Amino acid sequence: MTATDSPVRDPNRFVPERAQEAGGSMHAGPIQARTRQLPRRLQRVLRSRVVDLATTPHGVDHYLSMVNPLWSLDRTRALLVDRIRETHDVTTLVLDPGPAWGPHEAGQHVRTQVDIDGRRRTRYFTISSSPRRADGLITLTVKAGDDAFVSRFLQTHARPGLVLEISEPRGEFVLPSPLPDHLLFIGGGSGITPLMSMTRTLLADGYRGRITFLNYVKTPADRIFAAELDRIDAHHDRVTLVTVCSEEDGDPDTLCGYLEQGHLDQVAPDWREAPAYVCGPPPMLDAAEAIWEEAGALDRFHIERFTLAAPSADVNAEGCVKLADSDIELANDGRPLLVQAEEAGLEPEYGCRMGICKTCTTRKVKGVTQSLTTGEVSSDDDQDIQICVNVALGDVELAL
Amino acid sequence: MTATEMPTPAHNAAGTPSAPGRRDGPIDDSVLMERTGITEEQIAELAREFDAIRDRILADIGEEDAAYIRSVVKAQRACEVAGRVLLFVPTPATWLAGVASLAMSKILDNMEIGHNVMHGQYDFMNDPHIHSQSYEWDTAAPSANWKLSHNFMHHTYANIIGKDRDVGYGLLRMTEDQAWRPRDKYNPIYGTLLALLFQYGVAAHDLEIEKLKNDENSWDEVQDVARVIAMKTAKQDGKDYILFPLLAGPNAPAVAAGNLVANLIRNVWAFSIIFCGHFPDGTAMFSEEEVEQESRGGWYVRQMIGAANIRGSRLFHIISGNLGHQIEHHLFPDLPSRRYASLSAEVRDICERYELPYNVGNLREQFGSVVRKIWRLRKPDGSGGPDRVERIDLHAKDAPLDQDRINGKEIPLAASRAAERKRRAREAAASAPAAAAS
Repeated sequence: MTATDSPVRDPNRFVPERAQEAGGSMHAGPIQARTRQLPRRLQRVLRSRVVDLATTPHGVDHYLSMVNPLWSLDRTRALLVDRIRETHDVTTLVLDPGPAWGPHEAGQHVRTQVDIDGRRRTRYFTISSSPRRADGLITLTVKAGDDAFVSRFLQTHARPGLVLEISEPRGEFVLPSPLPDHLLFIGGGSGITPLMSMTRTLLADGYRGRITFLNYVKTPADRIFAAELDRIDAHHDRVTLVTVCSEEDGDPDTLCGYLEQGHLDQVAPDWREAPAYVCGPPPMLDAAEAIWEEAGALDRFHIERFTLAAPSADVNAEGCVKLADSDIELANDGRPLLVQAEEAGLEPEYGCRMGICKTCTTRKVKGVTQSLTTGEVSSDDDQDIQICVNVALGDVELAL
Repeated sequence: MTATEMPTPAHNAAGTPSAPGRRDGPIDDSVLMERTGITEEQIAELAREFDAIRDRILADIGEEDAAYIRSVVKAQRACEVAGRVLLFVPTPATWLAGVASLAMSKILDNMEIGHNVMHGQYDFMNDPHIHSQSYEWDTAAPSANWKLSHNFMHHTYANIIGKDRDVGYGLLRMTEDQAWRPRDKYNPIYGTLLALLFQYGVAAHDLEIEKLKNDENSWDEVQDVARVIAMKTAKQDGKDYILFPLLAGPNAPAVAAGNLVANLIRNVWAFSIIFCGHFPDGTAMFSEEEVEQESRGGWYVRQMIGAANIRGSRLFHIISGNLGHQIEHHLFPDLPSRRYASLSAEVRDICERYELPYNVGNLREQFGSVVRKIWRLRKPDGSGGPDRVERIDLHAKDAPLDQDRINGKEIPLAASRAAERKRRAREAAASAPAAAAS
């Protein structure tokens, strides 16, 4: 094992810095010295009707957030307290979500929002920590992909003291109840994060069954949680941990390449019987789905798709426009989304129809859109777009 | 890409002809051309120039704009809290300071924050606290109604009599093109009342009561809007005239009076800035027919010659919501307001090159011009004013534009050349039958 394999502690940890220096953070100020949360009784007073009337029309939260974003009564905000470098392109962020945070279920994710270059950006990250963690902190393990704006920002600029807005934990990719006596985990790259949360939770709970864990990585240096996984492998007989590198290392005894049925047969011949949890890049998920389909075991097959294939910008009139609130799905015909919604029988509010008045502004839940007036491509989830001048590039979901 | 290439229907939900650059049928800017002397090619070129400016700014929007509006919001909140606290202290000096601080808070909230945020200028931030879809301002008019009447009706149809409901707010006679009614003899009184009660005027404006008459809106619709306005107004007035005075205990009368004066100051200030934006002499008004087939470039021209700027300091522009840059605002209503100042030199340069007027004056000049107009138009023929004009006609040789208003250049402007062409055409038409007769 080389030096880069082991997790390197970030030298900046616990150094209080002005969040502003993080290069575009949510709120400025040395937050760490401040009270984490207001006393319950004070919160009750602040939520009263008198305070609501006194602060109309803005509401008390506007004023509180201005003093300390962590005092928000309406929003869940988390304080970044530490960063742990996992590999050359993966970092774990340790967050304090505050006492109001309800424990998540292992495998769930959170919507994470951070201000970058004056814009609030949204990304979803799986929680890699176990809800059994005693200090109440959660961790998000973030990989900086080429186009992953938020991830790259969090990796390179986010310093302790940064405040992030997070959602309640969400997601159905969770452990079954009751627990079976054998679980099969297959993780590819940073897709290991929900499986890590599950493994940590199972071990903390003294799970008595077997865990077969296939970890697909590019090279040994790309193993996330390497030291912890090695420790688990050494101390727990019922955990079978197999690392599979896609790049061959010349050793005939180790598995290599991408997920195939042969790997499963070799590591756990009874793989068809165990509930399988698979998370990784889209090609891996497709391969896995094909294997379980052929084995007729899809009822025991669970996957988490955590990346969307980004459609290329020059392809028009592809994909499907989903109008979520009206439960309508249309084949995208390349025209502005407002026109398509109208032809589907909806009457969205609109004004100028030329991108000026913003009456038609609608929340894009997911997908990629492009403005005809500015050419700007919006690829983030949960963005407001002017549907009169935006066209869909591939699948798009609107809150209409 | 211009909006003319966009496939959009020709009418909006109410069946009215839709906004510029998206009409079916031929484009016709002839009235604008006649009134300004600009050519069809120039209009197309001008549209490209403005589109390019817009694209350049859009590409540059980011951190600095976000930091700016956040700092204004911070200043507003600080003024608000300071104002409320100072008013609780029962001394004349703190009362005065409290009124000033609270008035400043309301002015910042309404002008630089509310108006501009609700235009969507800062929607790029994606921050729900500073977003056109969620911002609510410290004034009687509910944001939702105002956004429709202002963003859509006023900005799309700026200065089109009968469509732009901001021309006189349905109350004042602001141009000779509005037919005189007997009640217009009270024009100056209405003007004074509107200035003092401006926040309620803006709220009532959104009721669109005049649409009841021609059955465009039903009584039920008006009632629905009225309910929303009543709710908002009740909360606003409940806060200023009941809750805070009660909290002040024995100092209640002083607090209520302070809040009232702060509201009045804001009302008069907002009224002044807004009326200086479109109604000083030299701004052009249009009829619906005149601009029915307007191109995108024509839309830019109309926005430009229908607006007037106010010269002032940096602080003046902040507390007027940068509406002293009304021309730039009307050209680019959704660009962050802090950009207008830096755009004005460029816009002015374009005006000079295309020989279009750029109406700018200081607050005294512009507001004086508005006040005189309100006074003058109490009479059917608008007589009695020193600078009386039948109609703001840019090519009229005696148009009351001082030199500053025409880029510091001597009159005649290009418009007078157009007037010359028009006169010659009339003469030719007049002489033609005569020639035929002989």
